[in-house]
Amino acid sequence: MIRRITIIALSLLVALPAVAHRRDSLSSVQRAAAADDALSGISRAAYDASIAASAYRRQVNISTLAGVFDLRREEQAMVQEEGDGLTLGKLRADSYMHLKKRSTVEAEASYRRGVKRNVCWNSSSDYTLLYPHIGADSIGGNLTTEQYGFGGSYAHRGERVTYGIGASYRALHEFRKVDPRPRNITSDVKAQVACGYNFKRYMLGASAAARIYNQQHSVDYYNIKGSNTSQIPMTGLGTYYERFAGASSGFLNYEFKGFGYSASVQFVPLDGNGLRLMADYTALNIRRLLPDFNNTMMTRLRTECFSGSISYATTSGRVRWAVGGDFFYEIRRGDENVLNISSLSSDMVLATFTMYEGHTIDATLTGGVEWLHDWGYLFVRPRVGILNMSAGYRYPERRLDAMIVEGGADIGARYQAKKWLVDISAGGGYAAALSNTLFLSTSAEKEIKSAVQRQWQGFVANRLLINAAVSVQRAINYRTSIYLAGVWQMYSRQMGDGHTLSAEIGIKF
Amino acid sequence: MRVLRYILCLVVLLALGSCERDYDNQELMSQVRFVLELPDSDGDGVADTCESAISMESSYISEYNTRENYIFGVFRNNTSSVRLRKGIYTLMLDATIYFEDGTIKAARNTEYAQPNTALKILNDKEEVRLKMTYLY
Repeated sequence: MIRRITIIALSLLVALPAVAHRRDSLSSVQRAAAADDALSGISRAAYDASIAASAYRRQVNISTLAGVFDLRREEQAMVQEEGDGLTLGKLRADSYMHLKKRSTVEAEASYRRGVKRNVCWNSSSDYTLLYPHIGADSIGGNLTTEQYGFGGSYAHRGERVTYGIGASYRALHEFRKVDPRPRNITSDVKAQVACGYNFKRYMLGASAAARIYNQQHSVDYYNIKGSNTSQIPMTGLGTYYERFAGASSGFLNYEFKGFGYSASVQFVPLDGNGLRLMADYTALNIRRLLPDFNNTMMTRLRTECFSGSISYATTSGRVRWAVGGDFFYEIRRGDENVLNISSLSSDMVLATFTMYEGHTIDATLTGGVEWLHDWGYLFVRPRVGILNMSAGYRYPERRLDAMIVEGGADIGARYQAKKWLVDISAGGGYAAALSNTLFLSTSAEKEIKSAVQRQWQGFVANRLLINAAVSVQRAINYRTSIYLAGVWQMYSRQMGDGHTLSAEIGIKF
Repeated sequence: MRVLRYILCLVVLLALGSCERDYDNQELMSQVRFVLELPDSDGDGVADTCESAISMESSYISEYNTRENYIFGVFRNNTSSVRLRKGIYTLMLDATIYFEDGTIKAARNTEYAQPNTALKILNDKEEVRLKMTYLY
């Protein structure tokens, strides 16, 4: 069913731009060049935060239909819960269109399928969303992943007031066919309403969004004795809820149910030239229920995020520049319920304690300059960032703390002709830990303790970062062009290197 | 500029509202006072008073959810205090009782040894009376 919906959505996305093309006076190469350049990534957060603001993100219509191949290989996994490799194929269609003078429509549909290699200490999906409240086993293995995604939004740009509405849906299915056999089915729905008030050449906007998340997490065994592992409901820094750890029925299924909301304010220029500001607050509560235990809540994860962005960009003149700062602060609190013994009472939750608390601060300062020539431009894009991460588990006490700084720069060029658009860039950087502490109480189990320590050593290791990207686009007629793009990134650290490659072929129209 | 000031104030207020909480483990832990209730073995109407040695092999205090194990301390004047994480506990006590007159007896409590008779420890301070049975 979802496959059919995906095909229909992709077809609609391909057909929809024909409506907008009647008004396009620019060629596909000119529109692609105007839609994205080396500076457009700097603090685009202010536009991305709201559907109303996003209506002013681009002056041109652009649609893409692409096939993407992603490859990741690491000698030692940076995040072992995500595996040490990935092979992924993806089909993606997206569209950004000003349908009428005052209407803007954005739409996206995608399907991806692939394999995560050697996933360990994690049998749940969406690790970055759920950690530390995941299910885990010590054996792991390759995990097949399949995801469908749809999204769309509509914005109306009035004389003074802009308003917009949009929603997206994501369905994720991950599974393994050898023991232990997790099978996770996830649905993730987001919806947003936004409005803005235009004055002079700026818009002051506000948006509110809601999110409903659900993951059915189940694990099965062909042979429990032969599998030599059990399912462990992790609770943070290597701790777990031992009562429900095991390989027998009743301990293998969880349901993650989440509800989130966010509020954001934005201040953006209508023509992309000038100051941009954004402040956002997001909260998400995810409960881990036990379907085989009267749907009792075992744990609850409360995540709060504060993010902000300030930037200034110029879009005119022979020398264009932009500078931006992004700030992200996340708090994760893991609550654990003290559960009663079922024979004593039907009232299962006796008490709730916040046992895990983690804080992440990520601040990045990015700049960029483009020197325009008749044939295109040259650019340089330096960046510096700081990441502070601390987490603690209350009893038995465990804690970690690290501060990592990263600096680097990209340089590159764009060649633009009547039928050609070529982007090429290369860059590098270095990340170093200024401080790091890991304390695990002596009661920690040896195997889990060594897994946490190994992961931590990899995370705080100093590393060299190198990247290169190339994109070649050629017009096949006035409205349509074909493109080929590739991005290669690598890091090198004491315990091994890691490489990612993303190759993309598609059409822009 | 007024708009910028409002936005800045909002960011600062949000950041202040989320300041890191210092958790007090007092909320998590319970000071539990175990009191031995010995049988009136000599029939004088006064419960026996003793010091006791705990058998480490067979005595346990175990939290049912986390399976964390704790140990009893030495009992003096029939009492011993242990700091436990709040939860639901199964426990068993095997003790060697030393009386002032020099006699030694073995005693046991199995009242809370099974999950269906588990002990809830949820308050900051708890007192648990263990009715002991002499084994010999």
